Amino acid sequence: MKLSDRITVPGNVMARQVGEQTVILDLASGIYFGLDAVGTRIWSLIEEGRSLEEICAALADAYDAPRDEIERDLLDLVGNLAGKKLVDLR
Amino acid sequence: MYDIDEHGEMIRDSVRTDAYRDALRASIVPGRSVVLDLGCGTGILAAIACRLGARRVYAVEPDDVIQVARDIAHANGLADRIEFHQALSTEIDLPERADVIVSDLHGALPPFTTHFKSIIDARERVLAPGGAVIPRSESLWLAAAHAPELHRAVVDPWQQGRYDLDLRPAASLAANRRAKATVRAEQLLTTAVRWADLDYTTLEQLDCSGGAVATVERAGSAHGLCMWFESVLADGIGFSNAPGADLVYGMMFFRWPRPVELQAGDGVSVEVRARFVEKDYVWTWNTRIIAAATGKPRESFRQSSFFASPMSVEGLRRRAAGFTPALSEDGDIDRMILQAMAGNASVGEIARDVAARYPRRFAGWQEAMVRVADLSARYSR
Repeated sequence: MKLSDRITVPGNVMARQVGEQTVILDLASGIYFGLDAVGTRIWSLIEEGRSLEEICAALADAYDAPRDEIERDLLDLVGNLAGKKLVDLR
Repeated sequence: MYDIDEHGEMIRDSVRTDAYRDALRASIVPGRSVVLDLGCGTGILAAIACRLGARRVYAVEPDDVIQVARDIAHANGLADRIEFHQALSTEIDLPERADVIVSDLHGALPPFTTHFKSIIDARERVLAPGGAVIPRSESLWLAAAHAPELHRAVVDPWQQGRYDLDLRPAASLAANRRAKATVRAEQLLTTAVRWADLDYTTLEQLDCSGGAVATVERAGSAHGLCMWFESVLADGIGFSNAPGADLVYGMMFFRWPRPVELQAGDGVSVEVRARFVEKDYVWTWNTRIIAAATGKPRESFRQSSFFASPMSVEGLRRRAAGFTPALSEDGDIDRMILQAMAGNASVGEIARDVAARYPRRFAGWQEAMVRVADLSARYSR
């Protein structure tokens, strides 16, 4: 996985925001997933169609943390989401 | 679960009940057939099956209404041929195979709670080779409808800025709900199109999906999709709850978030999916309005019942896989009751002990009885 990868949400995955969290339902598996506040911010950027590179830049603007740490955490989360088939990477 | 008035409405619907009687008559061999009535309710179909000559009827129903079914069987001299089981059919074993499985579990649309699960399980475990399943098959239909009253009452309150408040956070919930409704035939603006077929003799999936394009026949303001089913109970025997049929089932109305002005010749392209998740169905309905003039989409909605129910942060926190639960006082009380139920104490004795342990929660043992009795009814053998 690279920051230049394109990321999309498959049609059978639905998400809704509840407070600062996000609840995701994968219709393929019938399983619910949850995201915390930072995950929710990332998810909303994914849904806006932003690239991983753009999401990383947006997070660097929003949070006071080193860029490489943000990049690592982002790739960890996206890898996790992709492993559960909640996002597609190309 | 239905109340007795609703059971009465089902029996009073002679189109529905006559069709079931006729299908049972066509399927039962007098003196030989064994019938399984899945979700028997007040037992009317079980009683009719007996009257038509069934050698034995197994009537299964988890709700307390099964006692009404027993009383009706006694009142009609049929009790010796009907064996009642207060349980979910998926949780019991019958001593013999059934030649006929009859059920009416489908609500306004067949993907309904555990309807498919019950039929598949009974067919696989109980149905004798060559036996009949009633209903045998069903098809699902839809059309776009002009139904301002169904939209105005439920969506508008949140969009109007009443009392100078922004109520839009509730609007998306209301707009993603579906509801049982009565729609008249003259309210349909498009052709009626079939979007799915269900064959209960072979059905294996709990999920149901399909798509169709309805053509606008009459210009007008459309507020959502009306859906209904056509049921084939046996050869040449069936019914439909299509608009105008006025059957007890009603129809299901899937709202759009806002009304759409349709022009004659427009296409209404719909994809529907009913996905069984945990205990019931999550419905999604994606709609595109295709303009007749250009052949291109001019409106598009993606809706789901997933977006329709309130969820709270606190509720989600307590359901999360990483959450470590700690018992509340209510949890402690229930644990005490359940532990006592595992011993030899009576319901009254448990209630007295609970009331003594939690005097601030229960004014006396009689008050604690309600709670203990509820748990006993739910978890006792």
